[in-house]
Amino acid sequence: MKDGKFLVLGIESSCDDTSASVVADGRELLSLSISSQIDIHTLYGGVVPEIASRNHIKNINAVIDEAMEKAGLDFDDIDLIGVTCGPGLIGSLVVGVSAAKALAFAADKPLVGVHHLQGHISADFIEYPELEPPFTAVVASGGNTDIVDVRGHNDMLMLGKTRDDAAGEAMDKVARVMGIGYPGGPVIDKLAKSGDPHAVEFGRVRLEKGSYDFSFSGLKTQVINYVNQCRMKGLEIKKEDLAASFQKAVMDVITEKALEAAHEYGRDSIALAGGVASNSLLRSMMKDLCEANSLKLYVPRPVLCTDNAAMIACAAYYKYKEGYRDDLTLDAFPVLDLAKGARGEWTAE
Amino acid sequence: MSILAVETTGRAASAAFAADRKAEIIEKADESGGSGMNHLQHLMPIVSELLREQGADRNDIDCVAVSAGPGSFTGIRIGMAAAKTLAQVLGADIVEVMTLESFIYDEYGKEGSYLLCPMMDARRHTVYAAAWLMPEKKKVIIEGDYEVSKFAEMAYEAGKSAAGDGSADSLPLVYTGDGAEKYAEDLSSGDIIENTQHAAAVLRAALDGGRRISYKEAEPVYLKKAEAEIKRKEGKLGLRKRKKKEEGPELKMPPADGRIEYRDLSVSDTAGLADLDRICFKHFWSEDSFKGDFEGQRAAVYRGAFNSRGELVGFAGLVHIAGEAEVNRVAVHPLYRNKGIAGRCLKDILDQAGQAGVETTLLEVREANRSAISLYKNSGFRVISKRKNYYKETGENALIMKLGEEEKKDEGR
Repeated sequence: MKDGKFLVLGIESSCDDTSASVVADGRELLSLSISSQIDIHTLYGGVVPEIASRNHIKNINAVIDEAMEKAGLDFDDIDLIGVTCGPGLIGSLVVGVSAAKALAFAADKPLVGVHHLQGHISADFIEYPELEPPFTAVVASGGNTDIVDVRGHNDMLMLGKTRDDAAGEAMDKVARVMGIGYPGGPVIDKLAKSGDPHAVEFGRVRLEKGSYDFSFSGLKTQVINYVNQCRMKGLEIKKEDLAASFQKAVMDVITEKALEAAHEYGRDSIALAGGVASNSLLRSMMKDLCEANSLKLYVPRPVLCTDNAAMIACAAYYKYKEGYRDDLTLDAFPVLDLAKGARGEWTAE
Repeated sequence: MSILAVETTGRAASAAFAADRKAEIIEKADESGGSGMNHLQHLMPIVSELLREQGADRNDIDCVAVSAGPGSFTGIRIGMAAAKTLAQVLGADIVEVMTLESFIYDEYGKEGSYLLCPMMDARRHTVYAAAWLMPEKKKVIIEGDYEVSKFAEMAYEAGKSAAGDGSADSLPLVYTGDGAEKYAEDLSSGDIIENTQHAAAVLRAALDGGRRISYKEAEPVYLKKAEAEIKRKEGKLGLRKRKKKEEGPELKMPPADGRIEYRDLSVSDTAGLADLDRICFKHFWSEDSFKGDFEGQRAAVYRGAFNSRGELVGFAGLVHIAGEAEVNRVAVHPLYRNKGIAGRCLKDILDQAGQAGVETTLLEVREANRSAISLYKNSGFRVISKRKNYYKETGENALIMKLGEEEKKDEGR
């Protein structure tokens, strides 16, 4: 507590970014420190779990120090420690959770574990102080493509998720096949801007009627087959067109389902979250669709879309406010159910 | 000023506490009989309980000793993250203790001089090990990642030279640690005394001249690079120091020991692959074909079998991309067949591909190649189609095989 504000120190290490952040009263971002490993993993064309874990342990304490220094606080000032305890790469999660527990014990502070997806959704609360549930959330990243009905801060219903590849993952794989680099999302987004989205008509996989689930692996295969056919026939591939066509196919399905969910559950706003929320096509398509349907659209700034600890601190704050607590036995979970995780029930799906 | 020690590199997490340098060391360990995978859950509750039982104030801790490794990578990091963060918040120092070294701070009920060899299981008949001349605590074999039988030879030699001039026999050898128990069969001479790493020994080691450092400097000791890193680096090195071989491959008799070791292959092994391929196949692959696999867009997974002379005698390889793999080549030197080498290599690459997220694995095989087809069937492949006149050179048919059971029709939704 400082200046009458409730201070949460958040820690996030579920994939390849190590991050710590201090958030006041759940919404006010005091500091955010992120140590990205993107340059390292680019050498391997994807995140290598063991290497990610090794870098987390190297960076975790420096990231915590930086967040505290930037906020100008001592550990004594902190009121609550929040940490991502799943889902994610287990070796990575373990580092953040172990540090958070040691911190909570040494500084004698309460501890709250946070579901990574609840964290992503909470990024919108930091960006938009006026935003309150209920709303429809779309979380799209390298590990997830989910549509969530957010009914309360800790009351979430997972409407649909990907049955195979996440949107970001499909983009990474397609980028690898096209030989245009890693991570795929930003590269494809950039190339697509000068391409024709109707140059190649890929089939949209909408799954059975009424389902909010996604499947991008079929689309990925369509692109791979297309690339192979062109190579066999000796045809030149226009990368910009291919990127634009593929990206359009991904975003068509995501935006359609988001809109359907908002309608079906009677929500008047849609909040985007996750790394893919930075995708320019997704943003512009959602903007047009929401305007046409009189819905409000919330999109956090890019740094809050990527994995970061500010969103974790925010989520921890609202869990704590509603009485949720974890103790020193808190574990890390590679797979976790969102609805249960939001209520502090740590069980796999 | 009090000292806390944490140990999470082995099977059971533990913590130890001493109220000051002279005080009795109190230890508390996880007694849930864990598999080594639940250190995260148990470590901090153990620390908290221990301090509460001792009526100790956490703010009096001015030093946190940590077992820095080697050991289970994740285990090391759980202890290291906890120790570093405790030190960071409490303003304490860290003392890193090499896990193997902590073993010399236990009692083994031995009189006189002996060689203490702690070994920790590093899987596949390798151990993290080192050796100390006792009771002097003089290190005679440095910490490393050794093959068990090789380490045993080294220990014997070290024991012999420590025994003094011209001694025909080694000092008594004492093996300890989970590696010694697991690979007892490979240790011909010496005693095996049951012991595992634990926090009290770590604390004693820290008190015996352990260097105090900042939490910012403390780092795990893995002794092993991450596998992906080794591959990437070897790939680059291999290209630079390739030597051209003039003479053809020889058919040397296998060494008498019959020992076979397996390891992953990289682009630096392509010369050996091409040599073996030429012995095994009429239509063999060139070195460049293998290089193409390692340097192509698809990720290559190759596993090789080596005899005790270090010669490549068998291998299996696949390439994969975007969740789909194709088994490219499986070969075993004629003098080494029917020893399960092909099956083992194939299993290893399929496991690795599985871990890398491969969902579909396909291969093609000559219809007449019965032994290969039966190998693949035994490894879980089934024939899904036949291609007529597939092989241009001979006009033979190819069978296409796929890994896994036939998919069941999805009933319901």
